[in-house]
Amino acid sequence: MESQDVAKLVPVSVGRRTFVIVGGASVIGAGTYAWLRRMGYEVDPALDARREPRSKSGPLPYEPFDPTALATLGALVDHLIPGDPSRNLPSAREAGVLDYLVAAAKAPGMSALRDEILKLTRHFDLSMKKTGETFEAAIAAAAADTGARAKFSPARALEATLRLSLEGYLGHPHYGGNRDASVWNALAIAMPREREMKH
Amino acid sequence: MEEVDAVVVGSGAGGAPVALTLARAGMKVLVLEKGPRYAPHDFLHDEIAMCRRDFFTPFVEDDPHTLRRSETENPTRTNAGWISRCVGGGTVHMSGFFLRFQPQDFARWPFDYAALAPYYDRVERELGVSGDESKNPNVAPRSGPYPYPPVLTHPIANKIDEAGAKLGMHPFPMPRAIVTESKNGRNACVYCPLCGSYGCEVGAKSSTLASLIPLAEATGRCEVRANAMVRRIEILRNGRAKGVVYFDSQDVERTVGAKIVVIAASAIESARLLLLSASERHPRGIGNERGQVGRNLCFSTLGRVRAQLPYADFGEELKAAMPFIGRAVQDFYGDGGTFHLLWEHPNPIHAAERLLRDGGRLVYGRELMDRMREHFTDGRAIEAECFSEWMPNDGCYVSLDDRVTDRWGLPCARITIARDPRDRERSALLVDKARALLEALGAKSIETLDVGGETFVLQHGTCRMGTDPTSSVTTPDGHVHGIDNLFVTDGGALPTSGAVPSTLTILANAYRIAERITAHA
Repeated sequence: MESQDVAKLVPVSVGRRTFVIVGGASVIGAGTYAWLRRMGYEVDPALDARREPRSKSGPLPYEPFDPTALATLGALVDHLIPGDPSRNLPSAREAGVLDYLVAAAKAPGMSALRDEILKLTRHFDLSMKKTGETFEAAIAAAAADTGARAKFSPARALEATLRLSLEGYLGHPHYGGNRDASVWNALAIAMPREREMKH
Repeated sequence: MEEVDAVVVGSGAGGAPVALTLARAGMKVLVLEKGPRYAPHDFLHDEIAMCRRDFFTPFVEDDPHTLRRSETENPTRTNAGWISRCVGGGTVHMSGFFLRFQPQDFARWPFDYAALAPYYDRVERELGVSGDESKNPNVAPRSGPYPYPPVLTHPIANKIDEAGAKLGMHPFPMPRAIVTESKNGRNACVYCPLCGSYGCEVGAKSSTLASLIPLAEATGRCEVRANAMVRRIEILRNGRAKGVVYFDSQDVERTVGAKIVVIAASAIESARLLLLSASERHPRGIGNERGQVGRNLCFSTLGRVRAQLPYADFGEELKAAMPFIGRAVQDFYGDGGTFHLLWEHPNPIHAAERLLRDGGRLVYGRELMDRMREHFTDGRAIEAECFSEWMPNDGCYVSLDDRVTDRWGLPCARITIARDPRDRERSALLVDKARALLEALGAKSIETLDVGGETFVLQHGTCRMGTDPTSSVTTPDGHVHGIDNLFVTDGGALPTSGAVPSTLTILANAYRIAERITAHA
């Protein structure tokens, strides 16, 4: 006897007219939605109201970046912030920026930024594989990208990654970046080393 | 239903003086504050936690405003327009530049400088303000010296005085809402490098959290309830205010009744609350029968100049750790406003972000390293902040944005900005004078960062006081026209922005209104 599960797999035929109407409506609907969002409209305010508050969302329960993405991200941050050995200024990875980015990406409310960074690493992997260009050239191309209003903009994602990396490079060592306050020391930055104020 | 004599919405510059005055007069006062109550140990030396997350202002996803620069422009979500969401409000992270308005600033007010002067005195005494009026030939009239001596300043202040004298300017010590002597249970300033944008761990900064709120609570008649988000003002059938409805810390809706209702949630949020309280009796929002609520929004016009003082030119003395330069100039008040000199904010991430752009180009890699090295190690960056008036105009207002809601599902405030051309002219004059002073000082790489810009944390006008209900929302006594027990006491009540940071004036006016409430109660 045929089980219900197997029955679900039996293909159902759809008439050409139904296919054209349903397919066309879907395409028009999706296009209108995308256009409205691009123009800055809230398409469904009710959906907006139900959104989970960022401040109340929990931390990510798994690692935010797979090994491939992590390797690309590590190389990227060292290109963005290469350091200066002649002045004891560490590179981003030496200063612990990668640890900072991983921790920051797991923090509550960071899903949008985390997705941007992931897309950026995939963008670099794909574009270098496709064109054979160097990482330097791929970064320069991303920085010069002008599609800032597209859903994914390499330029916007690159700047967001650089800004978050600067947090890890110049922020308090408490978060895992700016290891041993090495960046503050090399740049003579007079931020208090103690995070808690004890006067 | 809980009943009190007075409920005050907001605990910052507009709310705390009222709570204190009413509690002293014997009333049972409940202060509802949307944000949390921080203890001194919550204030960390940590730029990321304090300045780059939601410690003081909410994430835009949780509690947005929307902003547009013309009525035809699509508004975008922003957290601009939030001042601070915690007990003490914006006074917790303010820099505390406490200059009085000048007498000419009251030309479009329903009372004059003399009417507010005694309350300026009271703020300076009860909050704790330090300064030296003798060095400012343009000082607003005052009854006596500041209650605390001025803050200690970096040696560069002497060179600024000399440079100013050569130009005929009169730099003077900037009065600060910082106590410089330990007295009245307050600690003196310890001159840590992190002041503006941070909370003060020793309570030397004269926030209402450190000064007025403890005094109000000490009366035994004032309770401050944190994490209480007021969503609506209730009106009785006789037209008087009945109380407010709020969400508590667990998001449970509660109602509190009060004989006196005081709204002091910031100029933008107070206007929003009046509009959110629309009912059959007030279909356009409370106090908005003539469409005035939210109108006349004024921020403060800001010009900014930045320059570098190279160690090579200024020597080792420049490396002194003293955080305050503390020099202001009011020689051009009538035509421009006030400017003052200060070190660039010590937050290193913020400073580095400024180096990320060269025109439209993103700067990274070796070039970014060179810029950081030059910025942080070759000298110190000095800034001039130039405050001038923001002229009220019809195109600048707050309304509700029904398309975007906060996390409680309520329409957020939509800010529409338009500028009067005179704003930029005044700002440009001040910027030119500040540049001249920096040049005379010997500063290098002088760069104008902004002319006629905006300071969203200084906000005024949305519920302005006036005698004519067709052009104002509140009376000179501070209550909404036609509702004699509903008051607005924050920056929204101020008809104009003045040409100084306005926090001191907001506090003084709140004291003034509170005294009228007690006189009529």
